[in-house]
Amino acid sequence: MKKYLVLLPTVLFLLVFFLVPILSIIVESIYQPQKGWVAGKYLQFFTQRISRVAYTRSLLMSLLVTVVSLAIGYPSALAIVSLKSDSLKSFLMTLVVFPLMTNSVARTFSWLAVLGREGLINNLLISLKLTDSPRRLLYTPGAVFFGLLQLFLPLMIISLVSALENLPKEVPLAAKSLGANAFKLFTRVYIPLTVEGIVAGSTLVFTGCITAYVTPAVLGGSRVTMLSTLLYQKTSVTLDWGMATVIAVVMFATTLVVNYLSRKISSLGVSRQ
Amino acid sequence: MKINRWLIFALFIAFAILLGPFIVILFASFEPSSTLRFPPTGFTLSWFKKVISMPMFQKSFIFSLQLALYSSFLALLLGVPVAYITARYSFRGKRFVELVTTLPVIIPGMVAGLALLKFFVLLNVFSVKTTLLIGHTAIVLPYVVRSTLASLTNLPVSIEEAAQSLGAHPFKSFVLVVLPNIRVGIISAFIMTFITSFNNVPISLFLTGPGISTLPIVMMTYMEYYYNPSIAALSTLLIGATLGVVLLVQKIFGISKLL
Amino acid sequence: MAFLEIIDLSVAYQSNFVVLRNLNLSVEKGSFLSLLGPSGCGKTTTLRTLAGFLSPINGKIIIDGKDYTRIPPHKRNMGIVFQSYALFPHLNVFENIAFGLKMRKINKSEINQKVKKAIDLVGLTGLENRLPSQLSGGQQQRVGIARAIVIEPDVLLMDEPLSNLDANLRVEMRNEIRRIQQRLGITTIYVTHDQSEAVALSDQIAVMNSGKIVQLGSPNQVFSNPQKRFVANFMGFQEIASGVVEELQNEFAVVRTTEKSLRARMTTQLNTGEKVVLCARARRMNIDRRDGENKLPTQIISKIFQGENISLILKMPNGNSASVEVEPSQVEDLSEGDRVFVHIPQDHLLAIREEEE
Repeated sequence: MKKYLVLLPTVLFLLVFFLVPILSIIVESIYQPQKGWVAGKYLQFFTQRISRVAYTRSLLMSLLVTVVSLAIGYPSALAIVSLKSDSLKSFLMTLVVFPLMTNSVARTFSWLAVLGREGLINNLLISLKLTDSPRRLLYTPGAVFFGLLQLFLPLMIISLVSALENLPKEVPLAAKSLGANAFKLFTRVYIPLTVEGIVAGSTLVFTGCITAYVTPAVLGGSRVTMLSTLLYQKTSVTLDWGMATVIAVVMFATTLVVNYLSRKISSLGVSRQ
Repeated sequence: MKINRWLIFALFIAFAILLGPFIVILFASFEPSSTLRFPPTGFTLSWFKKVISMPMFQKSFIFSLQLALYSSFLALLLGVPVAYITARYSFRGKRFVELVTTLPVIIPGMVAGLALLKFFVLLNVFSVKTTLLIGHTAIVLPYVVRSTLASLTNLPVSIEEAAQSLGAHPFKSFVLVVLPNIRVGIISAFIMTFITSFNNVPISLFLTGPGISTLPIVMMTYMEYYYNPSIAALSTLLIGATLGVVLLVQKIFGISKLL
Repeated sequence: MAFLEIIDLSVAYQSNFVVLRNLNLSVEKGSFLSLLGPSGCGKTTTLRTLAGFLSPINGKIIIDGKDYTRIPPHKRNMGIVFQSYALFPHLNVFENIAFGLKMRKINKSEINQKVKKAIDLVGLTGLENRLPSQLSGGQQQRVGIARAIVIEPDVLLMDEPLSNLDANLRVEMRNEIRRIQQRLGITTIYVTHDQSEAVALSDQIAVMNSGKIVQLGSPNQVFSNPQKRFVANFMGFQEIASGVVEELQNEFAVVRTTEKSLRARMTTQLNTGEKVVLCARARRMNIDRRDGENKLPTQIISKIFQGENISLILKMPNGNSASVEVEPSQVEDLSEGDRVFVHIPQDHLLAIREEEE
């Protein structure tokens, strides 16, 4: 029994210092001792234009980033897995992991030099005579999109590479020997066999996008308010703690729902096989 | 073969998005004028010199290093024993312990940051520094547990039994036999937690005070007011350091240890 | 009282699944006892309980008069040799063997001397600085043995130490183990599922099944005179017929089968009217063209050439099949489908009480 005592500090640490504060702000957002049940802030969140727009924008942006990172990530993962040289494979995976390990502020700032007034794209457009004066590329949904894509593409590729590496090598060969063409091979063999990897990667990317702060803050600014930047605004500019908490709860709830749905989809995919 | 060419094309696009901006920022940090520009109009290292000598960056850099070091150590101290007990024994409440130790992964960083701010700092329970340490330790703990667990499942229980049968107290057998054999897992967990804590924004964002702020937060604040290549230089330094660490880890342990 | 006494030992996993039931066993000092049985019979559980890794729900373990039942593993002086070798991967051969001595806080020069002696004994001289990963399976197990004996344990526990080695090496290591054990005179408990290993090594064999000792005896007793149906089957006897005891004649019983009466040797005292099975080894039966005493009519199902011998699979009168090994010359003219008689000499036909199963 004595050995189980070493669990106590860790469990207490996480319960008292982490879970309790989070539960307390969630409870506080729906029930307050003086006022009883309160739903006003939630009502406000879903009726006010600014919060509704931010929420919808976050959801749509996350969906778009997920779809595009899947579209780029899947063939990239296939390319990496089909490499013969293990050292090259490992080197490419290192390059995939590298952005993930990089400080998000530094990484996001890099896009300012790409998309800024005198950045790579504008100078390219001007020198190609496609435009006379620099276009505003920063502080647009597009800028946020590219920032998020760079941020989360590695997670998608990693999930897919590990899913593809778990595929028995004989599977595609067997399918080919049975006469499957490339398209059928992809849609009937690869995709069904890697559903779990696809769902896992998509979930990571989607929930990551919903909660990401630095990218929308730096590349979107106040012109492209998203859920996370709105949350920070409420705590630092308008000091509306009630609304900040409500946004945090909505953000948390969204990630939970997405996780729940992805688990459902994943188990559905498995049972079909 | 047609397929292959498309796959390589996709891979090229992926790496362009992943790494392209890093190359651009590298060149932009040599720009002599005080605008962020690519391609640069000349070459200077003055932005690097400037950013290294600025007290606000120096101070927050040191603070971030300390915070990452302390929180990683604390997470190892709290996480390794839990990983060991859950790997080796089955007991009532094991599922609960596993759930609790994965909580910080499930809960979005900003939600945790806001909660810690309201519950500890605003209510004057803990100082900002202590709260930062708590928050950072909590968010890196799951990495320690996961990485240690993975190493432990590859380590046969029988060698611990052998050590005990030879007269080693269970604690001694843990120190003499288990620890040396999971050190790769622990070191890679430490590197991972250090980087994660050092880079963290969502929690640190809410936990700032007079003179207390982590480097990423100071960078973000600075960027709001100044639009010159000094942050580009700083970013280049951070990106370079990260690349160094990642390549080193890949060379020593293999990159899979960091995932 | 014997050196090692196991008294009424019961062990259960998760408090309801009992793996050992009231086990009793005594082992003399310096002797070699094998626990032999199929997987799941409780032999490894017995060993792990002796080592202290499992605690019994009741019963006692007494060694040299001292009660060890509740003593933790690191305070028992037992050497264990593991099936998986369980060498410390980060320590070299020397350090692996010295581990137990270091735990005992013995001074350095004595450690050096003892480890060197152990390394010589197991024949690993010159490999002191190798890591376990740089050794072959056989060499690794030698390190495992040296590590266990260097601490001069009260009891040496060996858990299927040879089952991860290939067949040739297994015989070689088997002889090594016997040599070392006799040289040092260590009381040894050896767990195995391989009857030939147990027979070659042991002073005593305890055949186990379903958490109980079914028969305890010398290798010869267990091998030639199994007293229980389970032991007979496990030691390689075939059940060729079943019947009822008609008459007792000294150590023989006349058993009435569906076909005819046969004379068979008794390994335990039987009574007339008892139901028995008749057991024999494949090598102890002969093929005959004519009927006679202790012969049964059979039909050849298949004929398999095995090099030195030919193995015939026979269909016995009770419907079972049994195999007989004979010299090729005896059965040259026979082929599959032929009807012949099988003769079992009365000394090699055992009558064993039917019970169980």
